[in-house]
Amino acid sequence: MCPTKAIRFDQEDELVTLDVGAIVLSTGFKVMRTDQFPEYGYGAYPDVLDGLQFERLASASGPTLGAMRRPSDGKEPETVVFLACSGSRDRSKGVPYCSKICCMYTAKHAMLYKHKVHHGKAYVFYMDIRSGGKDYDEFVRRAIEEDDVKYIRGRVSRIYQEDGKLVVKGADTLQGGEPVEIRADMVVLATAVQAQDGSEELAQKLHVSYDPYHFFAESHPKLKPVETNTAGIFLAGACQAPRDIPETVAQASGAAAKVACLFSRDELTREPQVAVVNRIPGPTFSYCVGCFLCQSACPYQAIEQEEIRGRDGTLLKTLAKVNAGLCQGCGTCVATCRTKAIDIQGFSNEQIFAELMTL
Amino acid sequence: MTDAFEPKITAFVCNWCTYAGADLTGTSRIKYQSNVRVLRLPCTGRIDFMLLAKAFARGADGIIVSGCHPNDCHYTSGNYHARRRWMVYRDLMDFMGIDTRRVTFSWVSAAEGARWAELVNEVTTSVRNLGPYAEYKELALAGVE
Ligand SMILES: Cc1cc2nc3c(=O)[nH]c(=O)nc-3n(C[C@H](O)[C@H](O)[C@H](O)COP(=O)(O)OP(=O)(O)OC[C@H]3O[C@@H](n4cnc5c(N)ncnc54)[C@H](O)[C@@H]3O)c2cc1C
Repeated sequence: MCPTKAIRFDQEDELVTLDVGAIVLSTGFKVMRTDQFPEYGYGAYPDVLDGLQFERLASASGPTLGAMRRPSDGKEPETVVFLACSGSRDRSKGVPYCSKICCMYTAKHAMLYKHKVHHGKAYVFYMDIRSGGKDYDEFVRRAIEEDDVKYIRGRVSRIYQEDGKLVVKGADTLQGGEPVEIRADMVVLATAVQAQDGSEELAQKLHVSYDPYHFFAESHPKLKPVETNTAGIFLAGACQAPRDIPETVAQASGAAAKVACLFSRDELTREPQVAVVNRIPGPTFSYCVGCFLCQSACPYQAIEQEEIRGRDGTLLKTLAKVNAGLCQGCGTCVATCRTKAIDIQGFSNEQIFAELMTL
Repeated sequence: MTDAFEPKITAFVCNWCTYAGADLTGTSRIKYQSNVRVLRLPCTGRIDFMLLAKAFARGADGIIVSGCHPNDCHYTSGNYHARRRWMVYRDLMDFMGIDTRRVTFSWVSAAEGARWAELVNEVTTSVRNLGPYAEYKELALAGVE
């Protein structure tokens, strides 16, 4: 196929094991599929597309080489309806949050269509136009004013097929809720952005927190937006929340800079609030009896086993030892320890009991 | 002057969710019962039984334990440890003769300022109805003196 043999077709998947000092999670997102919308035909109509499918249709490297041809019969669609907020901001059937990117890409899609099919009609149904961002609102205004895209504020209750057309039934809430019916050739649903499949499993594997929708959680919404609560793991892009490319790139640059900072130092800095296992002189060495209940309770695998050996090398005792670089100071181990051998700096038993004594 | 009973409520809250939520209650100017004394911990996973027992011994009439909602724990799973322990503590406390109606286990997120006020009001009212908790304190002190 390739005249210069630049592609190796005999290459196979392989599992690679690496020791790394940092991980940047950037597993992205997925979109709701059209078959999740019963009122829009349950995915049964080939000319009801989701945004990603339209993206391929409009792409010069896509299946039609960028020509506007609808999937069912390859005809050029004369009327196209775009539905923003398909599943977003919909507590009852979809997701409650705003998917953030759809307002902008819907304007882009409508424009792309109009640039390819000059005489075609493009309609956009929307709830609100959320075009916050540098030059974003100007972009939407261009779609409306220069490319003559018709924006209708209202939701679409139903789409069905009739005489080779897709009948789109909605309402125009800026005209007092007047019913609107458009006979379209193609419909594009801007379906809700969702967390990538397998995000929950990945988060649990890496001990990263995630929100109820399985987007990864940042360490602090304002002050630590690219860090996770697990040291050495950072976030970039739509795996954390719906976001567009400029924001993804900004965040990814931030994450990369954080990793570079981490690697540029010879020693790690950490919060002083970490757990410590007490040490006393032999023959006991510590109250720790080596049951390692703390080890199974620790969400960060920060507890290691330390062997205490005599001068002749005989094993005297195996104790828990906190890796202060990994410990985040939650104190779950403290509550688990039977012999009170482990305590947490800053929230020690002594300190907390002293507080209780003043009650 | 009336000697109306004002219950003492001790709240063990985690730093990241409930403490921040209680902070939000204040910055939102929401009023709530002033009977609660808040003890901040890194995580509800830090709470062991001795802390609850000590609070009662020091005169608490009621206790609130509140952390992050499931899945929201700053430390991934501390709130699950707390929940599992609470199942055991409750039986243990019951066995020891502690009135478990006086301990409320709850979740309040950093965004739920109003929920914190509601929780404190609910617990204060229910503990006020239960009356002062003298029995345990007397027992605990009997051993000391
Ligand atoms: C229809 C549509 C149009 C859009 N148009 C625009 C636009 O015009 N301008 C704009 O700014 N934004 C646009 N966006 C948004 C843009 O797609 C996202 O902002 C961007 O893709 C986010 O980048 P990301 O790297 O975070 O995630 P992704 O692009 O989703 O990349 C994640 C990558 O990680 C891989 N991956 C996932 N899990 C694993 C794993 N476990 N191991 C290894 N690899 C894994 C995936 O295969 C994928 O390649 C549009 C989105 C849609 C849906």
